[in-house]
Amino acid sequence: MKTLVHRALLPGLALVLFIMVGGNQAFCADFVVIANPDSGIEKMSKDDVVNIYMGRYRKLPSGIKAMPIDLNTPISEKTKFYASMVNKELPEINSYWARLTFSGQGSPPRQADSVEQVLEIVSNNKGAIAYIDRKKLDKRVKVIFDSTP
Amino acid sequence: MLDVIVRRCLLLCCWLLCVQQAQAADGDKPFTISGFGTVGAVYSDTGQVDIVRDLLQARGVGYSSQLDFGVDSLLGLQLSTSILDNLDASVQVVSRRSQTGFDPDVTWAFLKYNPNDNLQLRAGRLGFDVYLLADSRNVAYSYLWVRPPIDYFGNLIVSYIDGADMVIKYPVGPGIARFKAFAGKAREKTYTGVPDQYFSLKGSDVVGGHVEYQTESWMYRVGYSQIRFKNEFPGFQGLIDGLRSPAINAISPLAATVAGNIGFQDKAINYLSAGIAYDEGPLQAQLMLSQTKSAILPYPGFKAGYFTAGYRIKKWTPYFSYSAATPEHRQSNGNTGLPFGINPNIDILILGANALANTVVNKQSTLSLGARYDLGDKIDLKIQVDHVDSTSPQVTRNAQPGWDGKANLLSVSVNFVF
Repeated sequence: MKTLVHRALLPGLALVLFIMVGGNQAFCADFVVIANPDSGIEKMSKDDVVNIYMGRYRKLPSGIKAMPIDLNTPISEKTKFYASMVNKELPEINSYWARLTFSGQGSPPRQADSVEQVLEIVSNNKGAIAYIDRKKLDKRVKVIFDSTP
Repeated sequence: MLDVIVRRCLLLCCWLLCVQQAQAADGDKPFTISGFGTVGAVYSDTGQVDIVRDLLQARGVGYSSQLDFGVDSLLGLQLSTSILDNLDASVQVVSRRSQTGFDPDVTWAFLKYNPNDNLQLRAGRLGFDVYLLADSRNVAYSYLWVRPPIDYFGNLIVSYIDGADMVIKYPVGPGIARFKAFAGKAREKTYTGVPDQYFSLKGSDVVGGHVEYQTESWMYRVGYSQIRFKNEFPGFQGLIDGLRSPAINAISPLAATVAGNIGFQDKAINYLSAGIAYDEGPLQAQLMLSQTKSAILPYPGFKAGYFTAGYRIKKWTPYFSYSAATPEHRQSNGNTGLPFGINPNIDILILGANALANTVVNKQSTLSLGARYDLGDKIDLKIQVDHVDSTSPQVTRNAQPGWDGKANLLSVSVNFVF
């Protein structure tokens, strides 16, 4: 019995731990989270960004009502964002929102179809935040969270 | 009174949705239509009993049909609109197997007011939030199992209330603390085991609340709810009146005491619960415990619990779950103190009281193994095997005298949201 534990279970456990610990580092994240220049915030912590995107708390540190934006096209940006921030795949994010949406507790972030649309929404709404590829940054918005510090 | 309010709320919601629709050309996204559904098949290896999803279902899989498509299959539609910046309305209609087939039922219809991020008020028809996940158990896409653990959720006879609720939340330390309170009237009806006979919960008072603390990976929750029955269980009144009659109490005063224990009317069931959920990256696990207190002779209290853990590996999430329910002692053995054999009418009362003091209690456990597979971003496939071991089956239908208390189920379902 003891040999079985040693031979099968321990390496299995080690593998699970390896996947759990290693999983986070597997993604090469290179997005930034942006906000409106008048949002009244300079920096946000990862926890703050996660709380707003997961609908747990929808207020910016400056007190303004937060309006998170999801970038749907290209979908790889969205996949990368959730993988890096909460280590979740998109079906899991959708599953999470299904429970909240159909029990009247809130709705997922507003969905945008292009980087240009994202920049427009953020530059026109004080409370809007969004994630975009660092290379797409422009002067209308400011960076409040960097995935590669 | 409340009924009228809810009906008005419903009408108001519909009207607002129509108005919004009319304005669709002007603004962007005036209202959203979303939905969820499950197409499921279950096979049971025994024809001796019907395993049901919950007590609201009149038939299940096994005795009625060993291959069944109705236990888990359902369709839900939701219309939501934003009326003002902080005022929303939603209506949800669900068609699932209940007491009377697949008649669509309005499961949610409410106005939600969020004056600020710390307070939320809702009024109308609301899901019964007695346990974590209890108000979203129709949305199979939102959880791992094919169906919520029967031993834990199956006993619930209320899925929504007509009333109001309030949520207060604040960031505390690294997480967010929430307090929720609700009150309203139940409305549904539950099958009694006799064909075409139902126990109506209409007008029964429901109150409850919980405290919740959520960090990035952990969720803790302690809750309390109560339902107080407005109506008497069908068929009980004659027995109660008989046991209370002066002539009977002249023989044994104990009879009136037993009469007081039998009925549902004006009596309460209390639900106490505690739960911990962990969700971090690919790993999720939940442990939920509950105690249901009842002084109703034919429906004694019980303890229930479940543990579930699942681990995602790419598109697959294998999981296992163990759930169990065990009864608490009845507060009376149904002894009326009446002597047997002096009068056939008295004999009927004695037998009746004895029968109710020996109704089936809830003692059952279920071991489930399964896997969820992501077919797309909003659709999944689940396969689950359940081994049901019942010493005393309560959340079942049509149990045959020869049934050994065991059932193995194989379930396959496709679940989606849109």
